[in-house]
Amino acid sequence: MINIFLKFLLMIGLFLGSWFVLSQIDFMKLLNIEKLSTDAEKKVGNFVWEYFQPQKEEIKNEVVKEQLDSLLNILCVNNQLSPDDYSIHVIREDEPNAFALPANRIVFHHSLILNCTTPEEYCAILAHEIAHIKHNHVIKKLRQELGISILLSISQNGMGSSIGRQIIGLLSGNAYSRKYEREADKTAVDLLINAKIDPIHFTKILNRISSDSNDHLINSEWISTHPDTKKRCRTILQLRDQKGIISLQDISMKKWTLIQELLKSEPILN
Amino acid sequence: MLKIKIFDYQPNEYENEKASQSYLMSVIAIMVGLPLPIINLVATLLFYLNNRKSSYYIRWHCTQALLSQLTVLIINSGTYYWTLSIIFGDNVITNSYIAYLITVIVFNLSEFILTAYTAIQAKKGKHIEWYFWGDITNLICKPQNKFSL
Repeated sequence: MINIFLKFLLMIGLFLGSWFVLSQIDFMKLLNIEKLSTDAEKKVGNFVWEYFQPQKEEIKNEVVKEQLDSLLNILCVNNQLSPDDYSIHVIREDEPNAFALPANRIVFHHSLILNCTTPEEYCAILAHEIAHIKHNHVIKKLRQELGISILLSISQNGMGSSIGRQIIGLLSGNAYSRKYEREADKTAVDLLINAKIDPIHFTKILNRISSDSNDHLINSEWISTHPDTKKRCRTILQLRDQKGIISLQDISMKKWTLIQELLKSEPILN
Repeated sequence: MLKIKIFDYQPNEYENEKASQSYLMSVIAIMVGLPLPIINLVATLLFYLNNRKSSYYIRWHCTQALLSQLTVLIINSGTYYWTLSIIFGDNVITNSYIAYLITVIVFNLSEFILTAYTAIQAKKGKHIEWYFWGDITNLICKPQNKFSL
């Protein structure tokens, strides 16, 4: 009996040993898997954007772009992220919403920016969307909803308008799973604290756009597709207290006011 | 890994044929139901159940074939679960996953070769006991016990 047990241990050891030895080889680099998946994601991202962009009115005002990029810089530089990896697009839409698309594209509806009374509030939503990208939630969600075969075929042959509509619908209209949203909120708090921005601004914008007093915002997509706001705010504040804030960044309000004015004054925009 | 041993008695032609078939069942099932590892096990299990009242020699080889398939099923189930969690879940392809995949392929190939070899030898009347699986089979399959397992 002991003999059999020893043989059993030897077989297990042989299997686990082979697995351990093989896992020391860097297959990801050897087979170029990371690059292949990044390339495929870029292609999917470009196809989605090529489908999405012509249907929407993108605000390409240089001043707005410059100011929003400077806020992206603040978040990225303090978090060892490269701002060049992300591109922010503002589109004219009355429904306050923001969402991430493949290939690190973040889309803001101009109405959501108008609802951010401070640049910190905008940074909080930006941090949340960056967190979705950082955790690869965008591709994971597409993979879960559409299947890996469709994504692969898009990356090779492009896509039809029905798939394009489906992808945009999935990423802009539907929330990620609660697990992903919690993960994104947690990372957003980390990103904000590292950038010396108080996460309390995150709760402020969440509360504002879900506030009942603001009738036209009750059905805001960004809020309605996310978990319960009160619960989220509680968790964000708990995380904030756990982390602790050492110092705060002084972001110019003047510039933010300028962005808001530019977004409001339609004729100057494009 | 393999040992040719002398069985308790000299099996006849029919027994050799049946013992060989017990291994062939899993080999054929691999060809038919390659994407689903459980098909191999089900095929071997059905063959075992069909022959559980047969002679000791046939039962012995059916049991060894069944045990080896059970081991392969456990290992392959891990691969299936991991792969599905990558396709539909949160997991991503990592070095550990690729290493596991290679290890599983090597184990499956080895098992396939051993099974095919044992099937050929069993048909020739040679009694082959596998390392570890042969010992387990000896433990659970006894000459007196008609309904082993």
